[in-house]
Amino acid sequence: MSLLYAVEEAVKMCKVEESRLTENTRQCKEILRSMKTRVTVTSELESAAAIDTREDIPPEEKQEIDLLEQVLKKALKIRSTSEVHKDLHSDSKHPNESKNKTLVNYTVKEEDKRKLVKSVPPSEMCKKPNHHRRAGGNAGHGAPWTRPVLVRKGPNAHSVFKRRPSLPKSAPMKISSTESQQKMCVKTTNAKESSEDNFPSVPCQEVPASGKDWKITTGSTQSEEQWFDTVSFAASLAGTENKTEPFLSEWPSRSPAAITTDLDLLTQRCLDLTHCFHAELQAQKDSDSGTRAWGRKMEGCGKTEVWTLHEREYESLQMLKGLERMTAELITCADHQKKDWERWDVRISGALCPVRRRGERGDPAHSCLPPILSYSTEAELRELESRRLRVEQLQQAVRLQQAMSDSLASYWSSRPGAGRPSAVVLRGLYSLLAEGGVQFPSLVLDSESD
Amino acid sequence: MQREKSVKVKEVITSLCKLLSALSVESIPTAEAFRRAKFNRKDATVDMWSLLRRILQRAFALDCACQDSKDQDNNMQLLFVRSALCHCGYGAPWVVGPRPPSHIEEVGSRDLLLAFSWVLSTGNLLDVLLAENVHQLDSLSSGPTIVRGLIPGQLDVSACGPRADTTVKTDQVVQALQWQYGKLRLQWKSLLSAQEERSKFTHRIISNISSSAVCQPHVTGSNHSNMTSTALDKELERIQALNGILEAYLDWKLHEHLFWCWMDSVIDSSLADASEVKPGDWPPGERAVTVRCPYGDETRRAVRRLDKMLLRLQTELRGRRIEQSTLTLTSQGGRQGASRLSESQRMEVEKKVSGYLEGLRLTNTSAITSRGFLPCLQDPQPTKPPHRFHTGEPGLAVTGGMLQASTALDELREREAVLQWQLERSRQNMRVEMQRQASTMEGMVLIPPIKR
Repeated sequence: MSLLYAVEEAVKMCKVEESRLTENTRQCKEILRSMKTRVTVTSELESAAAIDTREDIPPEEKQEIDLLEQVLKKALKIRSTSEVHKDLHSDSKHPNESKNKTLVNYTVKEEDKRKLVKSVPPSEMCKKPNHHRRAGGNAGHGAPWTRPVLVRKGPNAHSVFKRRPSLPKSAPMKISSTESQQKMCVKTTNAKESSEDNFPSVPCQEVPASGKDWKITTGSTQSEEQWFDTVSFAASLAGTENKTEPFLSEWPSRSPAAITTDLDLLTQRCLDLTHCFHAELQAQKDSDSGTRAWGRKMEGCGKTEVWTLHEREYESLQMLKGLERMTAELITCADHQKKDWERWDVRISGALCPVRRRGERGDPAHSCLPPILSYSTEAELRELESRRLRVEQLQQAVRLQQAMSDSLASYWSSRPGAGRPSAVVLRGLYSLLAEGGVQFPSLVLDSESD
Repeated sequence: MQREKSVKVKEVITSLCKLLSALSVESIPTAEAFRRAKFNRKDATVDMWSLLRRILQRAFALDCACQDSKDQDNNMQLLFVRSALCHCGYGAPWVVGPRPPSHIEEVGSRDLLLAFSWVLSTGNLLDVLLAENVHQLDSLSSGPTIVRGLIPGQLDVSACGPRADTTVKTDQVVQALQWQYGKLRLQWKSLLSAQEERSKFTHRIISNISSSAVCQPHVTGSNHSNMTSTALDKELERIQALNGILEAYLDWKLHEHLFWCWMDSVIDSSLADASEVKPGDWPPGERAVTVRCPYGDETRRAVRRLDKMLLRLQTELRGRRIEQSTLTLTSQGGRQGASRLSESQRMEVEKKVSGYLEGLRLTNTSAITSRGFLPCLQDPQPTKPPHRFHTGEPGLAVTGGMLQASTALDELREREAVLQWQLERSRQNMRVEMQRQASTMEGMVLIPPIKR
């Protein structure tokens, strides 16, 4: 792939993303506009009809969207929080503590779930006052059936705080336990159960609910089974292949997908280290030529200059040591990959096409679902999104810089045979490689006088 | 009991099929076809084959020029499926064996079923498809990274060009490169500003949704209500569609283990049959010539390239170290810098250096936000004082079970600093190098631009 082509592709991709963003912005504008009109229309109707409810009633459509949004976010949140199943088992023994923690884990979602399930009289649909009511722990104020929901949510919250929250991993097990928990939430609110404090002994009206209750307490074992099932299946499948090839004793431990991803990663890191090393060499050469002149002048001069010099020397020494260490690590990793790949290569021997994943080149081992990030102010959200783009831009710039310096730097050096490249090209090269295309140097040429 | 079990299995397979069709995979076979495939019936082969092919086409693409050839060709399809399965790590004889089948009927429906479940069990296939749909349907979500990594080590200024007029070509290439690079910079600027605007509107919508006091002081014309309702309705539809997908996904996850138990039974039956077929049963010698990919040794070349690079780097580093140590030995005491430094200074320098090197390691991993994210406005008044939230464990700050944006921001700031450092260092390096070389050139004086 040529460098020029890569840059063109990058430009195209930016354009595509920009058009996506503008389209998105347009949609958002329309939604906002329709929200406003709906609200004004409904508020007009309200004042016209003079209903006796004093609390704010959000317009119906907005509420629907809200419900659905929250349900969706809840589902994704459940999906992405850390593993619940292990703690779930132990949590069932501490219902009282869990009840306190439920307040901590309050979200609007519980309330919306309730709304979704059944039609609630308008007086209880008011969000904000309920917010505070529940926050105050004043259970008597709210409807009596809010309690069961909170109690159910307890173990989930408790476990979330107990465990060190890791980055979202795709773990099928937690889904089963939390999903059943969700369903139980819904079912108990349906039943309009009066609150019970002890989690395992909640009287469940319907038999399926109790079945799910059982499922939660043994959720851990079930989810372990599930995990074992997938792994054992893959292993047994791998085992069957071996049987038909008795002469090949070793089976590669990783798939070609994982190997190629790792290879790319290692190559990139090697490039990073190489460039760092060259920069370090350059800095040393500079300081060498500088210090020799300096040293003679500055002998007997203030100590601080000498100290900085020594510090720099020590720094470069340490850098080189560190780089060597990292290179050794890379070499070991690369050896592993090579061995694994060779085991595959023996079987395929280059007959199959190279394949890549469509879409994002993510790490196949980790979950690819987007996490939910909660922010507090508009400025935070804007900073988050713009910094994210900035980091991507910098990453692309670094890679392009590496590629350009690798392939273009040689053109700068004066080759005896081919003649010197033209001044325009030299100027262009300097600006690309040294200034990122922002500034240009000036070249003063010796032109032959007539 | 058996009957119940088989009914349950059918339910599970149906839920899988529902999920797949919700994720817009086309032409899903019925649960009955799955059952027939278990017993290696011939009539299930076509169904299983098309399912396998479509799923693989959704998830993978060929990386070589073979993709340009006609897709309808059976041989090409077979080659694609085999390559993709091998990429996932599936090494069945019909995939990687020395004598691959020339058409689908030679691969039984049971083998296809096994391959399909392998693809399902490794590599997060469903998650990837789900994430795609989330980003498509949820208007408030922030998309995944757009920067496709440049394949390192493979880029060359001119991909092809005869030796003779390299100079002329280089001139043109450099100028074209300058132009494109300038375009890229401009494009990033407009992208950043488009993003700013979008964040503004996203926040407005989110805060509108969460706040309950929605009284607008000014009254807009009421005749707009018919037109503007469509935007909201469309949004509602999208969210409902996404909800449907998520429900199907959760439903599948709930019963997934039954599916794997059933697959175990499929493997058992396949083993039972395989013991009857001897490996030498394949007809030797002449078979129809199957298509081979001419670019198949791409990875082998990548491995060799990496080896070379690492070896070269290692030798250079070693050489430099030896050089430096001989220099310190032979020079006068004035060069013994390290011994003159105090302990604290040494610690400081070491910390700085390890920070740099750690940063190098960091930039190649994926950040919290690399998969995109879903923004969520926090409650302005937390229900409990903050110290209750943290259990004293280090790690990501979690409030109410969600990641905090501040954590992601800190990580991004770190990365930005490291990348800036890398970029600036590289550019400085180039500056010095080129100035030095310019000074050796005759008849030319290079005046670098003024640092602003």
